[in-house]
Amino acid sequence: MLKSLAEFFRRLLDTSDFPARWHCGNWSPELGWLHVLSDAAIWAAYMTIPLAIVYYLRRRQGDFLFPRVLLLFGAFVAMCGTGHIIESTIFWYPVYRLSGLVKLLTAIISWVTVIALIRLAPAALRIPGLVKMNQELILRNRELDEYAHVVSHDLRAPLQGIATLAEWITEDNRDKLGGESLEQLELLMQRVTRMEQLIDGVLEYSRIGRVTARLDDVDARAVVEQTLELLDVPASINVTIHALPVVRYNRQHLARVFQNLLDNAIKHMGAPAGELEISCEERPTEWEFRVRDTGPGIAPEHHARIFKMFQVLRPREDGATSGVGLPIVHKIVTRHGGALTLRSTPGEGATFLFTVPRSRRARELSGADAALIERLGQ
Amino acid sequence: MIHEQPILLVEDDVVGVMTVKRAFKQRKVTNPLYTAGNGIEALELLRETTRENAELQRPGLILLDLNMPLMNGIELLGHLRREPALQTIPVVVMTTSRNDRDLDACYRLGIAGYIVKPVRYPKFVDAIKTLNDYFTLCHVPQGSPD
Repeated sequence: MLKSLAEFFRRLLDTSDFPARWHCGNWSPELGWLHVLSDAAIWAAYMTIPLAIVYYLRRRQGDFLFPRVLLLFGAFVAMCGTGHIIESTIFWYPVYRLSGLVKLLTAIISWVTVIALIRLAPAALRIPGLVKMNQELILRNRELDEYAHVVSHDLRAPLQGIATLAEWITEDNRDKLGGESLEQLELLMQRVTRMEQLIDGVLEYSRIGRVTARLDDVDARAVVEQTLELLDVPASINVTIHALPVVRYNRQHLARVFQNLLDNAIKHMGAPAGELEISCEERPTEWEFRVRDTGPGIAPEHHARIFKMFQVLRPREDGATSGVGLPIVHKIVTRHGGALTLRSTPGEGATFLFTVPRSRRARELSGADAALIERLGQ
Repeated sequence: MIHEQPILLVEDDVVGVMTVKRAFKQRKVTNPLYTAGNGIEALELLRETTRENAELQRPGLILLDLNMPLMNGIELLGHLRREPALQTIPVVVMTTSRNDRDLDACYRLGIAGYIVKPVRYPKFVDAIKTLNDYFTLCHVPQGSPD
């Protein structure tokens, strides 16, 4: 048994026992070539399927729910294709042992695939339509922005009334009110100011998602210079601007990103003297902008939450920050297909890095995905 | 301002009306001030002033809030633009927060300005000062040219 098996593999490519298919029976050239060419064409088509599967799995890692079954399916198609190409070579080289072996392997992989698909069925059927789910998600996001906008819009009106009335009470009764009451009214006004900042922050945050932003070729250096002029940088802070590129971006958005990052850096710069450095690194697919400061830095445990809405790390009484600056930067950067990261060790300053995709395709990927999903759903 | 013609304030919030009155007093704006709590009241009042032998003089300027019950500011603007006797009165929108869609709609309906009311009162007084300066300089039609 073992001996004959060894014999089988030794003579796997041996053709001496059989005639080539052309000489076996009465083939007309048309019929023979019909078989040969059709088998070759089937083989070529079948081989592209596993290649496509591997390509998609690598490009969209994590987007496929059952990658192993998909690979198994690819192997099954590849084996089927191999069977067909051997069928056409047999017209010249009667490798019936190899052909049989390939058929056996095809049979095994076919059945493994069948079993895997049957076992997968309950899980696969439980997945709600991804397209539908994505559509819902896009819709919900838009609704959320709309909701945030309406609510903050409506909150501003009563707040204005409160602020005005408190101001008049103070103004009209300054002599009658005790020092304590005046102090309390001052605290009240501080809270009103803080609430106004929050409401305006939410309004701006939601506006980024509601309005379709126009793209321009924006000179990042000019944007940074203009922003610094507006920011009133203390003379003790030494600002260095390295070479910055022209990028395809919404002008207001890029200005807002730099304004918030630079403003943050200046406000948190602890030492009376400091360094502020703005640079950009060119990568094959993207630009990476860096805003580096020599402030107190941010401890690693805070890194995850500073991009979330309303997370202020310092106590609120100093009133300098509203907690929406970085979330706004984060939303703008990701909307433009980039990523925002932070590198910082406490005591050694902080560097905020954000990327801007260079290719049109990458830049529009997030937007294109949404458009595609909307189209698929129709 | 506007040669002492009356000003119509369309505003539903009592504090809002008080704010404008107090700021006017503070900035020494002496124009007669009419008030209406919503678009319908405003429209009735304006139509009243354009009748023959009307008791009230037609306003030379309208200060308009947008969020109001029954008939909101934008709806009122639509009506004003359709009535020849009221078309030429300049309207300045005074609203609590910027809304891009409202902003667009208002300018399409031919407003003279769109002001976001500052939360802090002193800044509101500043806004009224600017408004007063501008409409003192500016000529506006006094009724329809017959």
